[in-house]
Amino acid sequence: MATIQRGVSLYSYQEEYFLRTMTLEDCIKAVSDMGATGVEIIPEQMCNEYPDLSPAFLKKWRGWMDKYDVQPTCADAFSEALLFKNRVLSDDELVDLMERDLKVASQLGCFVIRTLCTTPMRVIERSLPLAKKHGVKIGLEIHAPLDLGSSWFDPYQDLIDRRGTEWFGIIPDMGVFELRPSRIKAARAVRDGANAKVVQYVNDAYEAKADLKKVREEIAKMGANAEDFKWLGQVGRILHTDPQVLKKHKGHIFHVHAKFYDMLPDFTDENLDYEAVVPVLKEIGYDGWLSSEYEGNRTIDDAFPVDSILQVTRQHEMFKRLIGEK
Amino acid sequence: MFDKYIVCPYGLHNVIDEHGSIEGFELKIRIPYYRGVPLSVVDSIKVTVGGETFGNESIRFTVASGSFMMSEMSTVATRRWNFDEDATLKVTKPGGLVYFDQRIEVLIAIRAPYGIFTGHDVKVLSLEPDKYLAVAAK
Repeated sequence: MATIQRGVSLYSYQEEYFLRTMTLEDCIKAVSDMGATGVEIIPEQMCNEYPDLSPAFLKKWRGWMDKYDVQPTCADAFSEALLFKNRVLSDDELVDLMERDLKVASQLGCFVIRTLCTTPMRVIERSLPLAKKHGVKIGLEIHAPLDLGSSWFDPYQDLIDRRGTEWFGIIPDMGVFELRPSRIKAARAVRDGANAKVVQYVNDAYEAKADLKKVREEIAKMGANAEDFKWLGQVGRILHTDPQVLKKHKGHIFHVHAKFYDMLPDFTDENLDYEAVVPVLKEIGYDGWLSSEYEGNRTIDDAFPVDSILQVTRQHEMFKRLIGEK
Repeated sequence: MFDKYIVCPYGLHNVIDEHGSIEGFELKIRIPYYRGVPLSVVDSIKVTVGGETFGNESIRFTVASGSFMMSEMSTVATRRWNFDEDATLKVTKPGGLVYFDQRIEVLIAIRAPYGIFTGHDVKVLSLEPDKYLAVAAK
């Protein structure tokens, strides 16, 4: 039976990689050490030869895949539309860049590239023959504040209706399923100067589904400062899409970005709705990867050491339980 | 993100030209963004020290793939600054830095596909021994 597979975007280990305490090989080993099988990479983050990967590097890369018994999944691409200061790249040039990234992904052995929602749809459509040529799919990342259920997606649905889903599909980012304010972000707001009582008041109001306009008036009466209002703004931007919306996208989800900010020691995520999301993915027969994207580092790094391996490992303990892995 | 790592805690020193006079100073920086970039999108760098601010016209940017004045960078599309790489900034300032301890402030702007991404860092660094000082010590 088809089942959801566990993977990691090496983006998750960027803090350690940046600080040179983990090498690319260490990152790949960390994925394998948790029994995960999928390796996603931002070539521009961890492949210094990008965009011209040498045979020597590719040999090493494939060797690591064999040694650690993992496989490449997604290569994250950026359409560098603002490459030049005085003009935006033309569609032709953006298609060229797309082909460059499809080629890099193919050399790495990835089955899909992630393209950003800033890539014009006409560029994606023109690139579909190139996707076929290189044997690599193009996945549009759907990231908060974009809503998987809104009419924003209609033009892309039209593209799917016209051109099929062999080469074009989506990569939803699980940050769209945010249940409640993140406790590490709230703590950061307090460290940045927000009043702990006001932050708690805002969080309680969110849980109680209070009208945030009224909350704004209330915290003004409490003497809220600029950081308090900034926190209210952050809470106001929380996006909780109904996980059932994934059913609408059945058949064209190529890959899943399993974004998270903080896993608790009991292997739960109180911030993001994985408890509801994974069962829906199972129900629709999704058999691709849940690819971890740890992003809490930038919230805590002003005050705490970052331990990306621990955080990702905790998330994978949760995935094992939710997937029903023995 | 990574702002606090922009100014490297090492590498600050005066630079001596071939005639033996101090033409400026150098420091090392890290990228504040989460990936490497083509040099052309390194939009601007401002270095402030001792109340004086230096911009693109007075900064030479050097990485393994090339060395360019910041004012030339917008045309350099085929050379890259890697995510894990120190860049060396050479700031033109005749006479160089005089005091051993310097408050260095760096503001950097990168043109990401979705708009300008900025990074900011301030550190107090000590000048490292350099040729000029070594000569003077003799």
